[in-house]
Amino acid sequence: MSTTHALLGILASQGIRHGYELKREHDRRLLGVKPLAFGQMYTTLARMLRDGYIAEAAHQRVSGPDRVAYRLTTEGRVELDNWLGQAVPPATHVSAQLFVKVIVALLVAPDEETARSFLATQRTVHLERMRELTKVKTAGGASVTELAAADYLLNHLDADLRWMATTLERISQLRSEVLA
Amino acid sequence: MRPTGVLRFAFAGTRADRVRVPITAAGAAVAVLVLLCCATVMTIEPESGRYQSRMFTASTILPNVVLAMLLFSVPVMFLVAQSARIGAPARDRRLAAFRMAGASPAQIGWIAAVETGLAATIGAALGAAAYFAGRVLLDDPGPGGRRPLPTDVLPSRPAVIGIVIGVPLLATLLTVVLLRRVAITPFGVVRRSRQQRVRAWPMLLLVIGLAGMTGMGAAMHSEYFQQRQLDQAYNLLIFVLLACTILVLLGLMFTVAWIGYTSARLLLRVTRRPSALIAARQVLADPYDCSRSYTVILVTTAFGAAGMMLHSWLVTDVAVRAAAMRDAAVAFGTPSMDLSGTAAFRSDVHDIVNAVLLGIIGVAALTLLIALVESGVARRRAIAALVAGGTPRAVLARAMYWRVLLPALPGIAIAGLAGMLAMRSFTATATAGWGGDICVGTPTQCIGDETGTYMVYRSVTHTFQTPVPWGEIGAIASASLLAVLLVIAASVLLQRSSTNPSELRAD
Amino acid sequence: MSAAILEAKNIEKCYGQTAALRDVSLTIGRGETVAVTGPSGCGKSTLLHCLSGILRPDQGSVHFQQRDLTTQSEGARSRLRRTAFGVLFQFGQIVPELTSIENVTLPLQLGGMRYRDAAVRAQRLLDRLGIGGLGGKRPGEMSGGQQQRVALARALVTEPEVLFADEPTGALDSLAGEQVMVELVRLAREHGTTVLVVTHSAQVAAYADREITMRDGRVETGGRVTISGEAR
Repeated sequence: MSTTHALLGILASQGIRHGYELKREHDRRLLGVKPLAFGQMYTTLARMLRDGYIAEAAHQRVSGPDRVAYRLTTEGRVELDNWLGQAVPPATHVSAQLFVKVIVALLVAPDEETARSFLATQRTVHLERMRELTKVKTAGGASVTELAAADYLLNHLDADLRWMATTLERISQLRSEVLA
Repeated sequence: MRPTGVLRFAFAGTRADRVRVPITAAGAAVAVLVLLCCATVMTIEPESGRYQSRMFTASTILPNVVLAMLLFSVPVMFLVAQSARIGAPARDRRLAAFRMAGASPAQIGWIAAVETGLAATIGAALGAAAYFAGRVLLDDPGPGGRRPLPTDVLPSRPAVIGIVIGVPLLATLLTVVLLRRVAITPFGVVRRSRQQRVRAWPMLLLVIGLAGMTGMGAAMHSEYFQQRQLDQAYNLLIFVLLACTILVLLGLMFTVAWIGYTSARLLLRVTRRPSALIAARQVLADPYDCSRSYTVILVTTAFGAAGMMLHSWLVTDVAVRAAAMRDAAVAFGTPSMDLSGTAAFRSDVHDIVNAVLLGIIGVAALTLLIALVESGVARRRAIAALVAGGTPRAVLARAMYWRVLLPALPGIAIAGLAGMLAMRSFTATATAGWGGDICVGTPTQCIGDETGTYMVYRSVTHTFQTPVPWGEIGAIASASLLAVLLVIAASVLLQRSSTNPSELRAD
Repeated sequence: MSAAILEAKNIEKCYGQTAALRDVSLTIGRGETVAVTGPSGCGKSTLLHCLSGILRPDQGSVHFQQRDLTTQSEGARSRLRRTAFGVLFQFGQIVPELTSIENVTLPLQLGGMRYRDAAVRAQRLLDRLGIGGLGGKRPGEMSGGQQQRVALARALVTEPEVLFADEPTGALDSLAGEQVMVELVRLAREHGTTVLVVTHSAQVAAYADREITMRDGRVETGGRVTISGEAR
């Protein structure tokens, strides 16, 4: 899965890393992705060792527990390149909660104005989040990964809003379909 | 593409396009009419005595009338060329958009050719119709069968056909040739990475043309020419004269471009007030475009000044001849010949020339107005944004005045001067004289046997300097300037309406 | 919120038979950045033109710092736009024959400043916007984003009280648009400039502190003034 490939990517770009450093880099570079739990990370690393994607580079005993550093193997590199070469399949089923909610809202709203007011509330919340994300840009000093993460979310929220507006324009058509 | 499609696309244009079609037609009509009249005058037999006016009968005057009409057709041809270019940038963009939509260069050529060709053909037909209608309407054989105008002769059939077909053909060819440079961008954004530099050397054309005319004038007055029959060299002289005229006119255009360019740079050095800044930058951005817009007005001014100079010479000529005859009359004791008829005739011709000049200035002003409006259309967003940003309209109006007058004011002055100097090459002096045997003894001695002793041949030559008609040249220049000022005022008003905030709408 | 700097009361504007604005009321506080959004043809550009005194509404009033713009002459409104307002449009607004620096100095010179002083100030602003090296270039020699930054400099060089921007990023790609908006917001914040930006894009609207949405010539949400008779 993608955690494997994220870790492979970090090792590929930054060379030999300890487990803890890997987690830190993962969380730092992939802003907005759920932070990696230690447990999950060590299971993943164990599986990667088993598959021969990574190898132990050195044992270090600094004070306290063993710290193992890892390096990328040739197999790991090949796997990473394969993964990068494959397109992410576009989703066939919409699973977003927002989608379901908007459609239901449009179905149950007694008139267009009520539907609009439902969606206006959603727009307010969306825009509030977008404002927070935009502040990353205007505040200055943000890293490229921070900007990229903000852009990713901004564009998706923007897409939500545009889709909502378009759907709202289709409301009368939708209602006649349902009532038919 | 089917012919109907070509036709539809040819006339699917903007406001400027719709203006260009009638103007092209009008220009072609005027050109055909002038050329047909010119051809008619050329077919008149001299000394036929069939016309009231000596313009068409006297064998000494007739060639000059023909020459004058030939020269007169030069500004008219300039007018046709100019009118075919009206709205051309907009049309080029429209045609470029057709190209983006998949039309081939040949198809684009056809669309443009059909548009100009059709407009010019309609114009030529109208011009020919006006000519033939005029022949009938103005045909007025007086008591002695003498007509006021040569309405009883027709140019040869090939000449008529050549003129009626040739004018639209030339206009169409010009359009197609100029279209080769159609911009590829359909957005009309012409990226100009560097400013055009204006070179000073083409101004030499003006000097060469004037020098050529001076040389011709000197040659014609020389003993060599005086003693030979001028007729042999007549064709050559006309050719040289036309060539020099064209050189002078081209030189005039380049000179005005250079003056506009240089004065705009000087202006920038002196002041950077917003109006002056905008105007100077506009002139610098395309100095030739500015001078092209004024070409017809400048050419007309030059011809007008030349006409005034010629008139001044004609007046002087009457004066010098009168003086010469007075001498002779005194010497022979006979009444002096009355030259008031000649003077009146020349004054009538002068009035006609003035009226025609004013008419051409009017048409030239129209082409200038269209050129200005067109450049305004191209920059209307920028102007509307300036107005939205609080730039006073007065500043924009002043910028317009600066921009036009910067080249036009010196241009008109130089055009007047050049026209005057060109004509002055031939008309600096007027000469007349008389010669005859005069009795130097008593009357009886003179009719006696020894007549030979007492009758002595005397000849007197009077040479008058032709005064430079500064007042009249000034009047012509003022008329041109007034036309330009009116045009600016009109375009300032039009700019007001074409830069309303709706131009700034984003959606 | 601080005191209102701009206030529209019940303004109406028709183009011929079409009503572009119907009974629009809103308040904008000093130093606020406000986005006006809505679908094409909802009247948001017309609203901007009325608020900035470019157009005079058919009815209602527009107050800028307690002065009613609708009763002022075109000359007075023109002066106000020159001194207190800055305007930024989608594209094509800088004079094509003038260099960037000359374009930016224009408003200062119109205010009576000498060219030399105006050029110094304009250059400083161009430097701030990262296009200091393009002072001698003409619009045709610059990219769309650079042109729009020149236009932004021209709008802000007089340090106006209010900046009106109509789809300022409409003709730009997203990265160039982001640069323009980021600079716009930063400069406005530094000088305490009130900003009214008209846009159809939620991403641009997200630069603003609040959003006014419009629909069919009416304010839908965010006008901040409850008017009797307005639908919900």
